[in-house]
Amino acid sequence: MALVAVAASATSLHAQRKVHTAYAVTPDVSVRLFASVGTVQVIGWDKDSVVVSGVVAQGSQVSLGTPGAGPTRGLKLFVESPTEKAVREGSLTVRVPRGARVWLKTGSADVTASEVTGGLDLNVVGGSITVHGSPRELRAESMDGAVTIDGSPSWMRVKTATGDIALRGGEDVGASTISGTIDARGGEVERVKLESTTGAIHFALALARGASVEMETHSGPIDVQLSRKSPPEVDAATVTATIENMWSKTQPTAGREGRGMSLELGGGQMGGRVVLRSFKGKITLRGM
Amino acid sequence: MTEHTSPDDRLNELTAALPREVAPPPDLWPAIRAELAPRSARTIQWTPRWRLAAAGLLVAASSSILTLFAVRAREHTPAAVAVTPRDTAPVAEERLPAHLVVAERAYARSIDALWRTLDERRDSLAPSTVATVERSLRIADSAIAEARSALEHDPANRVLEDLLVSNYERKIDLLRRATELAPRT
Repeated sequence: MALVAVAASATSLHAQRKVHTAYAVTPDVSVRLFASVGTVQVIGWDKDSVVVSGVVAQGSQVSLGTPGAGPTRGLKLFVESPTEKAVREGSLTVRVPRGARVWLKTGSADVTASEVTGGLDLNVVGGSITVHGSPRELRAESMDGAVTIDGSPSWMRVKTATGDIALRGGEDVGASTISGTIDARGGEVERVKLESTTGAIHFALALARGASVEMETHSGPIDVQLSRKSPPEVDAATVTATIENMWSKTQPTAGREGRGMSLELGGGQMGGRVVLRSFKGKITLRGM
Repeated sequence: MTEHTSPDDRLNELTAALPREVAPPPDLWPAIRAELAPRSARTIQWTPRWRLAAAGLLVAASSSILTLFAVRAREHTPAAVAVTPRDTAPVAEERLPAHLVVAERAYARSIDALWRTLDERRDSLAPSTVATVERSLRIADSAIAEARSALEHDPANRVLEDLLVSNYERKIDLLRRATELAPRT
């Protein structure tokens, strides 16, 4: 906690302004950042300080807070570019204590967050979100940008409209999209709900003991890979679509009035439960 | 609902059947906490931004309560009733389970309120963002209409019912998020 406020400077660079400021903070500081810039990097580090550095477009409104005498528990930072075109000229790097809670709202910025173990609440419109590491709480929302979570947060909610979602599991996971795809693979999960309206869902995560898995779509295909060693209970149903089971020998049955299909499979005691629902997107089960 | 019971009476019955307390959805608290943390020592100023945030939280909470409402109520209301079309594709004669009719009216109110807010803010958003939102809303509406039409023909189908409710919730959530976008994004 040795670092006290260091500097806040704004130096002219052609059409950009240089930004650098630092604050002494508590390890669990809450940082709220609104930034209309092109890229934002949030990096967790082992220091009780927040350092904001980078460049912004000339003419940007910049409010990076007033450093106090002692470590602060909350910071508000604001950067607004003068025009939409100037947004892409801005680039910020924000270093925060690993246990910090960071709230970031931006427009078309590509946001990358890494090594934060506290909380992340990231909201973009057209840019992408990439998170490395496993924050305790993660909320990531994008309209048409892609969201990639390369870690296993304890609690995670991801939402997009058209953007694709890629994730690797976690303890309590929710992902929802209208027409983007959801790709969940490479890790383990305890509780997960994946839902889309038209986007494809691909699931290939290992299941923790007693896991609860739900997937739901209106018309996107659902492709699920499951372990045969510790098989979960499976309850799959469609309204008009087919179900293809390449995971076990049991074949699905025709649904009500001959439309759609259903498939119910008992599982082992430790394998958890998988519920799959689709209106007209095909459901496919495969072995992992 | 029976022929001798008015919609208001039925609504009162359903309301009375609701639990006294409803736990908030697990993903609501982090959003509330994030809003409160930086300003806990100060009085909240009800600026337009705060009112918008509060409205968003209210819609999120009411959406969850409506879901609970629909799930609880369907155990007691096997009959189907006619409903005036709202927001989704209209059909000549609509027949949905009564609890869904109630829920759907409430969804329609939330959607109307969010649409009004979005319309007021439309000029402050980037045209590309508006296009993305409108395209996604059309997809959501199409899915709602399709699930709704299928449910009218098969009102006892629980899978269809859950899918319809989920489609409504995704649409409301998308509208809520669109109303919370920062200007010029």
